[in-house]
Parts: sequence; C-alpha cells; structure tokens
Amino acid sequence: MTYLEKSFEALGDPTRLAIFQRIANRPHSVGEIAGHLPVSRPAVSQHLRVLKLAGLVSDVKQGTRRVYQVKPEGIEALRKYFEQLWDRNLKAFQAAAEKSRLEKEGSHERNAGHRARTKIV
Amino acid sequence: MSETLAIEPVRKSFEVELTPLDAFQLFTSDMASWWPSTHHISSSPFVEIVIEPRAGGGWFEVAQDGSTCQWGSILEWEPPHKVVFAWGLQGDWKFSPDLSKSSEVEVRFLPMGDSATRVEFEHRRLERHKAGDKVAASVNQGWDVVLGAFRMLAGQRSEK
Repeated sequence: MTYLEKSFEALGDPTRLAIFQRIANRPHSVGEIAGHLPVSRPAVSQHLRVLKLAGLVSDVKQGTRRVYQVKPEGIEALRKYFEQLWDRNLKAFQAAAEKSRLEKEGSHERNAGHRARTKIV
Repeated sequence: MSETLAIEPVRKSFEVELTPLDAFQLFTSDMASWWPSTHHISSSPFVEIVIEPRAGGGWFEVAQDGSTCQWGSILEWEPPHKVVFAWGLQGDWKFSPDLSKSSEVEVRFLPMGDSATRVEFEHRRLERHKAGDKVAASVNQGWDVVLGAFRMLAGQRSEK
C-alpha cells in the first residue's frame, strides 16, 4: 500500500474524517473532540491512533493533556506519491536511453572500431 | 491568498548518453517502451501510450482491447528541447479535462557536448489536484481534506 493510499484509507471513515477536519482547523485535545462529536473518548483515542499511524497527525503534551495537530509531512503525501512514481519511471527511462545508446554505438563500432564510453549517471 | 500556496514541485535531473533529439523522441514518441507497465489506469495493461505531437494534443494509454484512457494533454511542444504535459488524473485516477485541476509535468532536454543530454524534470502545481464538485468517494474527500489542510497550514505559516 502506498503512503497516499494509507492516508486516504485513514480518512475513509466519516468519523475519522470529521475528527481530522477539526484538528486541521486548530489543534485539539481528545476531550475537546469528544465534546464536539457524538463519540466517546476511548473511540476518539482509537481514531486518533489510526490518523497518527497514517502520518496525518502528531501529538504533543501540554501540561496534563495531549494535544493533536495536523502533521505537515503527512499532508504532503501527494508529493511523496509523485516523487516515488517519477523516481521509478525516470530510472526506467534512463535504462531505456542507455539501451538505445548501446544499440546505436554497436552499429557504429562495427564500422569505426572501439570507443570507450563508461559514463553512467 | 490561500490559492497561491503550492506544494513544492517534484524535481529530478540526470544525464543520458543520447543527443537531445534522440532523448526527446524516446521520451515522447516511444513512451510505452520505458514507462513501467504496472502504472496504468485501464483494467488491463496498456499496449501503447500516445502523445499527439502538438500543443493541445492528447496524452493517453491504449489498452489491449483498443479502448483508451486519457492521462492529460500537451501544453507546450518544442522538440527537441522541451515538452510540458498537463497531468489530468485526479486522486481517484479519473481523468479531468479541466486544466485548473491539472498539474504540470515539464521535461527539458539540454545538450551536453556532442552526444549527451541533461534531462531536467519538474512536476509542479500538485496542489491543483483537489476533489471536484461532486465530493462523493471517500478517496476524493480525503484528497480534498488533505490538500485543504495543507493550504491552510501553509497560510498560517505565511501569516506569521
């Protein structure tokens, strides 16, 4: 499962999405979220655990309570997805370019003799 | 305003031992020869990836049964130096022809000596991929929320 799919799966549950939207507006404690939504505190804690595992939220301790906030790295999941996609695809393009170069050089070498070319990026 | 906030583009650059023209042709007219076949949006793997060689041209995959799935379009076509694609696939892998919802993929081919090319790649305006008008699928919702939250956070940061 990609990073992006994991994030989306975490937000696929309507309650979890509502919780995430609240946290996206401003940091919230578990008690504050439970006070605004028809969900028990243990259930809120469970949803927050899933959001945290998906890399979407992080928590900090403020005095006696734990406050949840949106994680900027988590919401760059989209960028990470494309980063991975292009990393793989452009490496494939480089390999194809090298193959094409060798084919061209092979046909030249039969006429012009050996030329050493070893540069690989 | 928040609309101007952007996700940092994905950038890559590397050299290939081909002339800019050969590299450009391999990239565009022979894309199916190198594009990993695991990346397709039809139900079956593509047999061809078509890039119509002109600004405004289409960019689509052709499946074994002959059906096509649009990926995007050509925004700038300047062989052998530059090509800019509009990436129209959304979070649910459905194509949108709306350019305001499309990101941009720019690939430049710079000559390095006689027979090498520096390829400079950029996928930008990723923040444009947010859900359309009908926010039904949870995937779409997730996309919208994720990006909305990102824009908002970025906005908060720039206001400070």
